[in-house]
Amino acid sequence: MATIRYESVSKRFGETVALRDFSLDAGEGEFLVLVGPSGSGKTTALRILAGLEALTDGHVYIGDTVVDRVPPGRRDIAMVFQDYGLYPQMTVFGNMAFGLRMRKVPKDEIVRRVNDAARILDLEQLLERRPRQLSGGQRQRVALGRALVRQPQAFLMDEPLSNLDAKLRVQTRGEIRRLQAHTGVTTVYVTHDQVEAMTMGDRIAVMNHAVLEQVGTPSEVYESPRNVFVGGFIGSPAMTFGTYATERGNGSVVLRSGATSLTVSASDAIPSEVIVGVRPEHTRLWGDREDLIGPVQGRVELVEALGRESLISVATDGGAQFIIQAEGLVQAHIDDVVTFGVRRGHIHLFDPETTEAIGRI
Amino acid sequence: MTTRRDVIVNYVILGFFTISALYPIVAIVLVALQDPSQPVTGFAIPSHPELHNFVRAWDIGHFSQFLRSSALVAIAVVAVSSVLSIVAGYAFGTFRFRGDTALFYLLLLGLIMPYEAVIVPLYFDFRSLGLTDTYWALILPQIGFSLPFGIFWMRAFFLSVPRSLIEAARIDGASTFATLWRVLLPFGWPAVLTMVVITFMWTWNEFLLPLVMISQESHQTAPLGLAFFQYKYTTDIPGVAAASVIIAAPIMLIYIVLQRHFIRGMLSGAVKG
Amino acid sequence: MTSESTRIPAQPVAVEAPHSGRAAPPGEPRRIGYLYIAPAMAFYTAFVLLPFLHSVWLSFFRWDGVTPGTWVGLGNYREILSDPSIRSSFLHSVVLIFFFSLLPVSIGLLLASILSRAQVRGLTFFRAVLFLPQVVTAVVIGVIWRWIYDPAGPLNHALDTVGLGSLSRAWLGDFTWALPAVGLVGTWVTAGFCMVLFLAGVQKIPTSLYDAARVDGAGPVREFFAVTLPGLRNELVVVLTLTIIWALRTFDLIYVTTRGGPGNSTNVPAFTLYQRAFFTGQVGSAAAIGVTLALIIFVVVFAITRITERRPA
Repeated sequence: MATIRYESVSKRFGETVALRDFSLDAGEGEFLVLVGPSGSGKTTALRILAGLEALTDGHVYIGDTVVDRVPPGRRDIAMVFQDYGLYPQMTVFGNMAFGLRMRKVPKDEIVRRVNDAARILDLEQLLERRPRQLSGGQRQRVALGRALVRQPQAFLMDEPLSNLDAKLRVQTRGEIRRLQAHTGVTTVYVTHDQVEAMTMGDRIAVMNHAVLEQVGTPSEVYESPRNVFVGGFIGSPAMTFGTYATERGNGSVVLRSGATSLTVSASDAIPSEVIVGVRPEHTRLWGDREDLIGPVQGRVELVEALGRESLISVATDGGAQFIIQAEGLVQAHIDDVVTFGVRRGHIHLFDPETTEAIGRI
Repeated sequence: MTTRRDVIVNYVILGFFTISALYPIVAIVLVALQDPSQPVTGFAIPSHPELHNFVRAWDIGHFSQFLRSSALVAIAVVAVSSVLSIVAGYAFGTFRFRGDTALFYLLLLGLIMPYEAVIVPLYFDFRSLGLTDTYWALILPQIGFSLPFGIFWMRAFFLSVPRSLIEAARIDGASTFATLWRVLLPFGWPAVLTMVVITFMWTWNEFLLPLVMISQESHQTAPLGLAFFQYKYTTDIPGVAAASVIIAAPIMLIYIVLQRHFIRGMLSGAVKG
Repeated sequence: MTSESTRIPAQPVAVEAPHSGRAAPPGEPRRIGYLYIAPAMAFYTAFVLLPFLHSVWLSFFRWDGVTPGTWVGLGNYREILSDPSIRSSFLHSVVLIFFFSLLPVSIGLLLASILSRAQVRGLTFFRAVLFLPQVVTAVVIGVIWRWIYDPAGPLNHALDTVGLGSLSRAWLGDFTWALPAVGLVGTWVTAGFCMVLFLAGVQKIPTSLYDAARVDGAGPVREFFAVTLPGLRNELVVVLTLTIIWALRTFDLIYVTTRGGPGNSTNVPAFTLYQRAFFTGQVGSAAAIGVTLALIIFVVVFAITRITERRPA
């Protein structure tokens, strides 16, 4: 296994910029997830690492070696594709053995590695079958097995779970993670699903519009989003935002938007206008907790009764939207007026012009 | 909402056209079986099938020789043009290189280029090289003319292959040739078979080129042999009919066995621009 | 916190030249593509492209194939327009377009529209048989129909049997009827091809379109023009293109059935070309005819694809 480094990598397709000044490191044995909406550049970054796309600027390192010009077959990496890319006419054994045969690995070594991988992935019964005789989940495991036997410096995975049904996806997530921990191979994993990212990654790299927005551990990214995008992208249901004017009082600051006002204590300088972001799990009905800042009044627009909890979407005077998380099934109806508050210490402030995070209060 | 009457009407109509298509072909076979001394006026099932006509046509007409020439030319053309088409189609369908679109459109021109436009210089050039009356005069131009379809066809196949398959092979360390040989061709053989079958048919049926290039009987192909036989023995109708059957038989047999591929190939020409 | 390691950046293994925006991926085959296509392009150029250019060159000369030729510029082409025998052969081609193309296409469309709804078993068999004439060597087809059209042949015999004996004649020897007779052979050959293609195309038209048309109160004729015809547009393009090209290029059939006769009544450009190049020593003119034929075909293909492209899908 090896470290991975992107150094100011850019990629242009004609006029379109797919990746802009992208710098990122993955440590040995780390499971790094690239997450973002489609078009964010995450797949491009992965393909550049694989050597399937050439970069326009910057450098890519695997270990200590610059691999910019190295063909994919010589980078000693293995990749799992979204549609698995299994060789249709070869058996499962043949699929897994192919990369090793191309590298002139001795025959008995090939057999040993394939059997080992098959055992780990529970493919032993399927070794003589062809891909078209396998289910989606089985094919996915063969794709994993093909990567595993290569014993590469790094695993690259391009949304490998997208084609599985929801239940299988959750199950396989865990399996991939365990496998990676067991083998200790550095892994770069691409997904558009932030839940997947949060549950699987040692660190998450959040991307948007060809730019790396933030990289950090799941809790870092969750608790300290660096800008509005990351705040809104990570976490489900998503963080809600509103623009507020600030008024300084003595020792405290009032955030005001229309009739809504939040009084917080803040020592640092806060600009005259801020974007406030709050997560639904930190927005509670007034009286639910003691550490709530408010009260705020809002008109109910939508109630999602999920059994264990209810999500109440409200609109406040001033325009800001909130989603209140309440326990159990709450009797609230559209156009009701509810009173709620926000947990102290979980109000995220962002600069209205740069959308960058100012702090959390 | 299809009534039983609709179905019957369908069968009647289809039946009518099927019979129209079959009649002449079946008729000629029957004629070939008739006694040459009797006048042949219509569609009559002979009471005593005369296989003698076939023997006669074969011997007098030297058809074993013609068939051998046709086979030699067709096999040579198909062999070379298939290999070149697969390889070039692979490049056009898989790689990206400068000018690939322009070159491909140039090739498409050959799809509609008539032999008539080139037969004149081809003849005189080959003549000055002393190559008329040789198989080269038949094989080389026909390779050139089968390439546009072959490349078009194989390129379409390679374009249809999921990119991830090719990329997986690259990451696995396969060279471009290994990818073609070990990964893509093994499951591309139906496409190759269709191309082979169609190219064989076109080459076997080619008439103008051999007519112009070959004057010696030793190198004449089957369609040519038939035309001259018919010209010489125009009154021996059953004999001529027998000769026709002999000439048509190889392609017919291949067609019956592989008709799926023939039709699929011609149908998918619908993808061409 | 974006970077975790404080290791000294490694020195690049090789000095890199600045990348161009269109750099191919390191492993993606680029120049090797030329190697792969080289042999094919060589054959194609040598035996198709260059001969065509050579034809164009030859067409500017008056040459008998033996003695040195003389430059006549566009003289051969002017002759194509002025010489009645060449003109008539091109006209005959146009007639053949009707028989080889328009007629079979109409038959094919008719059949496809009639059959569009009901399920037919054994379609593979029908398809295989309908397609058969396409596969048989043209020479064989010529021989077969020569026999059918023979004065003592089955056609006349059938006419006699149904009491229309007065219509029987030497079809291929008749100045008026030879060309249509040959044309009908072409119809027979291509009708099956059209049918197979249109039948396949019609299967792809979603029945919901027909249902919608019927709900709107469309009768079978409206249905045909509103649903079937547009749905077959792709197939129409291919069929028209191919059949028109076949009509313009006909040689084998003419050679075997009529040799251009009687007189010049079934002469076609390809046959005229053949005569001029190899029998009457008018090689330049033959080349000009060949080039003209090719140009007409190019224009036709271009026009057909353009016309069908202009209407939005």
